[in-house]
Amino acid sequence: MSEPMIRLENVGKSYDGGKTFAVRNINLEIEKGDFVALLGPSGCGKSTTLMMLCGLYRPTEGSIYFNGRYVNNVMPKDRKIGMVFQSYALYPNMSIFENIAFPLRQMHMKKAEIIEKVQHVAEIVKITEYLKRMPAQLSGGQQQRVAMCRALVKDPDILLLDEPMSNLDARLKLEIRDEIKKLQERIGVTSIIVTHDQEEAMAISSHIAVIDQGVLQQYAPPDELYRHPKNLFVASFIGNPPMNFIDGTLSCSGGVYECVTEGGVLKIPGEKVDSSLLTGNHVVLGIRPHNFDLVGGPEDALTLHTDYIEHLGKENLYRCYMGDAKLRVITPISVDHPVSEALYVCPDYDFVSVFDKETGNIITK
Amino acid sequence: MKHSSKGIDKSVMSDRRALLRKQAFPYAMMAPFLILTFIFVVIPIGMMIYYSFTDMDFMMKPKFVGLANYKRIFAYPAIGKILQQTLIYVGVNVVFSVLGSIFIVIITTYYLDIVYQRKNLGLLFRIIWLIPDLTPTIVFMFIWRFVFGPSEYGLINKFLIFLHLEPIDFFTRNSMALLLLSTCLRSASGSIILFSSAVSQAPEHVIQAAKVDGASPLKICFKIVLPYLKWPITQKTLWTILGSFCAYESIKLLTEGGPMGSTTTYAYYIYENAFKYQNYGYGSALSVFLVAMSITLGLIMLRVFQVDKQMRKPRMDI
Repeated sequence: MSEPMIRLENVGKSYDGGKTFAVRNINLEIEKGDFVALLGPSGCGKSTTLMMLCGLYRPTEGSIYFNGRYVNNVMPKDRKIGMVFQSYALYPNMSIFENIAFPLRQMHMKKAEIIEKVQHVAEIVKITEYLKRMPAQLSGGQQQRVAMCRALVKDPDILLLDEPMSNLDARLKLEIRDEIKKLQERIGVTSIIVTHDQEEAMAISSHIAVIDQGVLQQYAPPDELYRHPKNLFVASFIGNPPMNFIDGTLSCSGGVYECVTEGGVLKIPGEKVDSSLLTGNHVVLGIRPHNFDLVGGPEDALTLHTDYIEHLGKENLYRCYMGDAKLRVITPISVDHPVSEALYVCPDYDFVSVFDKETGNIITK
Repeated sequence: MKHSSKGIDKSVMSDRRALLRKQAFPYAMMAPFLILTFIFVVIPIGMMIYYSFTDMDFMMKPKFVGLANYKRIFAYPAIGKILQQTLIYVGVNVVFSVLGSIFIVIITTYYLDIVYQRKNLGLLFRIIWLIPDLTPTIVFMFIWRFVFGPSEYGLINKFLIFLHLEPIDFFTRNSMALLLLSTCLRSASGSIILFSSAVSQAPEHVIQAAKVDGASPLKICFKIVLPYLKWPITQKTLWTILGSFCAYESIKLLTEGGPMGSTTTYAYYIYENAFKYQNYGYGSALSVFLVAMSITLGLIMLRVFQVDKQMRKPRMDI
């Protein structure tokens, strides 16, 4: 088996000499050409992980390998990386050209070669007309492109992006997101992006590493993360509108699992559940809002009461409650169910995730 | 005009009064400041210019003498030497106090705080370096006199005598160097806070980016951090030039212009004539000339540093 581009082995970082860890036991393998998103809420340790990859922070424990080479003690400049910072971090006193040429100048490259390389990369990112300006004269989106240029100009093996789009407005965000994705596919550079926006991570990356409280929760391609979240945290973090969680009690009878909830009894096909993972009989059902079918009666279905309806244009979002639990149900726009009447819904069992209430881990296959 | 035939009726009167009140209000608000400025700035300047044309002395009976005082300035044989000494005093002061400030701040704020992350150490050294500026001039200069004083009074000479070495008379042989050393030190320490805050304005991310791009700490210092000092350096240079041009108190306290007038600068010469010999008329003429020189120098500096270009226009970011 060939060595992956980047390998992290039990990597941990502590800022206070080992008392508390910002991240711990991170194990990741990233193949060449992958576009990996480090996703998590703020303060989860994703930026710390990136800083360790770029070499500005040194891991407290564990080891990092680039192409099989141990790089824990390698200086950032010798790692063949390009980095884009959240604030773009352009050098305010240099022109755009000088900004992009800066890393090349540090490599003592010949003048003609520098001009050629800067021109080339500026053409790819389409900023040739701004090369003579100063950073303060550019808008946020343009500065972002310059930062990309500066990261790419030295032909890095790895491109690191630290929340590169969080300072842009919503429209520009989508535009730049597309551009980064296309650019990455074109150049084929292994890229790692840090983000707290799950939608951005889903759209842009080939693999997502979900991190929470310094622990890697799941590392999988976006669709797998969406359809088969490993635990309750991943399930609640991925997807918009978020997944519905329903408490229930599980019992097995004749190859079918019966789940008793506040709103009714659901029959879960036996082959879906891995009973060896079950610690008790209390479970949490995770069902995404658009994985419900409307049915006529309360048999094998959940009985919900509608609070109000959000008309989203392409679909309707029913905000319902079932006892204390609040649920979201998305229906086609053709469905026009009165608020006053009870709503009977049956989940699509292919897309139901069952979590053990004790451990929070998934028990469906 | 419409009402003129009927005479001014009451409503128009009150309208006018309201308008007057509205127009007068800003001036009323400025009045205290304007009055104080007038009493303490404008009148003294006027008096100075007036006295410069008189022979006002300790008798306090000014008599108009025309341009005699001004002719006297240029007729004074040592004026060339005094101006030359002033130039040296100002020049050395500016260069070494600015370089000194930069050096101290690069070491304490950039290297200790940012590069080596020893923030407490950096702060400690910055505070130590602030002491010369925080000490009152009179105390500071007294300490210098005490340390460098002649044989039986000076700390260094006492020490030399104790070691059976020949005492050195610092004040007769190197008084200008000593004066410059003391004033440069004080002046360098004076702008540490300003310079230090400018250095710490360099965003962490920008420095990290330069590190990733392969720049060494020294290179980052020159290419990234020092440009943030552009404005403080301009300000400090202007300030030191104009300040040391008019400074006389350090000279008065340390060397009293001597020996043999070797530390007499133009400002100290004014002080001597105006207050020691009480030639107020001549002193005023000298002062008018000093103001003229300061203004010329200040305008040249504003052009040289392109201060107007450093003021960046506000920009909206979308």
